[in-house]
Amino acid sequence: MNRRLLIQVSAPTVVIGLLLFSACIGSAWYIHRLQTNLASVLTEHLASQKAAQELELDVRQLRYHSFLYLIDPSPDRQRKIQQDHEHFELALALARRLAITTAEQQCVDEIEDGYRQYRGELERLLQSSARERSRGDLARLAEAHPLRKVTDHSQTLLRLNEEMMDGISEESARVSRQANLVLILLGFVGSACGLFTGYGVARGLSRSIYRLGVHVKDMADRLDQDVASVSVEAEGDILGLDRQLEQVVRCVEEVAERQQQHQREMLRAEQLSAVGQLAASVAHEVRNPLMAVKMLVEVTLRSENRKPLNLDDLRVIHREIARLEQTVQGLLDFARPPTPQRSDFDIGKLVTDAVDLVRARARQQKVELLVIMPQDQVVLAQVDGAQLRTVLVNLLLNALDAMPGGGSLEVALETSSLTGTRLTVSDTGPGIPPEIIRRLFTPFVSTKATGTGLGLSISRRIVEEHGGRLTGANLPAGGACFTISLPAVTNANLTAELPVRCI
Amino acid sequence: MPTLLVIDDEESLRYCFRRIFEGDDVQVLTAATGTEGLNQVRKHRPDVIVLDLHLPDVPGLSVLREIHATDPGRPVILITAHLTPITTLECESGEPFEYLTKPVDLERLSKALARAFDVAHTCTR
Repeated sequence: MNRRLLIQVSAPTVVIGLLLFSACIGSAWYIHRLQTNLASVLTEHLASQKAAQELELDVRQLRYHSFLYLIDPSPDRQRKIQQDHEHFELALALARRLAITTAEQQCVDEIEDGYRQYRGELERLLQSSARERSRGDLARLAEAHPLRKVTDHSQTLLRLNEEMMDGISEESARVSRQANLVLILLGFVGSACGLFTGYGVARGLSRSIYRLGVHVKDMADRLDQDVASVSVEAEGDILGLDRQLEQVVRCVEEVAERQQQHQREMLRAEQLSAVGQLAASVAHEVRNPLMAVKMLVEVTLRSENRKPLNLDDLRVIHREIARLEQTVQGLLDFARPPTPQRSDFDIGKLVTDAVDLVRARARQQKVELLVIMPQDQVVLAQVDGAQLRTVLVNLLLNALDAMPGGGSLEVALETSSLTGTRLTVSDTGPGIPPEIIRRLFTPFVSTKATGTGLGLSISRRIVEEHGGRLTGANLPAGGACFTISLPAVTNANLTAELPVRCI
Repeated sequence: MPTLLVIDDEESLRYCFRRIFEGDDVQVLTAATGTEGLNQVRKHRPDVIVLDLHLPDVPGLSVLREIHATDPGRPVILITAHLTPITTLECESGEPFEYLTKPVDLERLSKALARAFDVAHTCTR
């Protein structure tokens, strides 16, 4: 996918996604904050309410225990009254701490005032002796104003708290409604944005596909000049594009197939025409001088011979015979490479040169080149370097042709004073087809669509001119292996002077 | 005097025709190319023409057709070094008086020439 298309497709989606994500995060944070505030306020009010309840309870208990003690004083009852006082004061301190509003604080103040008055009254009664206490005093204490003041204010505090709780509950409901609204809005906006972005992206893609379709149509039109059956319409959808491409691919295949067929036919025609031309020129070069000689001889042999051969005739005959000889030699020269011009040649260098020549092609075909040769000696042989290099390059090219989809090509040079020099070229291709393995070195036999079928036959002749042998076989593990064996001639061991050769 | 024109690029063959057939009764003219041959035809109006199918400048068949275009009955003997089924058909299409393959038997050539001169003589007369 190209960069422009990637940006066109993903950028709007990413932007919208990011916006929605931040909106969600914001909402979640807002709701969380509201809830936290609400919870803390609620907790405080609950504690405050509890404190008010405790105040009322404690004051009632205090009054009860005080009466009991006044009626029947005992140290145990006095201790209980003491405990009630402590409880009440603790509850009062708590209520004061939790009183936030002015109304609450006033209430707490009133409660404290009432309590102080009640406590003063009670202290006074307790210090007086039982006889001094009149029933009237007790009745007054029972209905004592200060205590009533405490209970009344405790109830007021309780009511205040309840009202606040109600308010908080309402507030909570309101926040919850707001949160709901925000979430619903987010849902709507998110969906709308998604739809809108999707539509935009689809529209952009459709336009790109349409443009691509137009290019494909152009291409198809151009192909149409070669293949009449193609008609492609520019459509704006993926399926249409797929159909168009399929059509174009079919077209290209057809054209390629035709081209290959054409090439094969051309090659075959060239081969035939080369053979035909050779035959025609041989016929011309042989039959013309033959005819001249024949005519002159026949005229002399005729019974009614009036024109015996003269010197000019003999000169013509001699010239034509020389021409025939030349023709025969020319024909032999044509069919046979020139005699090798042998000299001491470094076979390792020959291998390096040949491998260097095919290296680029091997790389192009993703074929791995492996060269194995003695690192510590120079392999010399009496050969025509140029001719033998031609043979090796021919073998290497054959091997590469057999591995169009990649593979491994190994060239190995071995030498021994007994068996001579051996050059092996092995590939990991499909091997030599069984039907032609026997005729491998026959002229015009080829497995390649573009082969002349002359390479191996000429190669073998060159190797044989050097007194060697060229053989081909299939490897057990697959692939073909060709071996050039040259007789042992010179094998100079020059270990000390030579650097290690690396390929 | 009856005239024979030999159109062939082979110098030795032109020599042979002159050497064997030229005499008191026949005049032998020679040409090495098709163009030269046609010039000779226009200039000397030979009775019989021996024409090689393979000439260096123009195909022998073209020369034959040109001769027949102006002189339809003129006997032309075609000779070729390479007679294949295709060249045979080509030769026949030009309707030569006779076509022969090199190296031609002298006997056969002589007879063909004799018949050709007879035809040419009849035409002329």
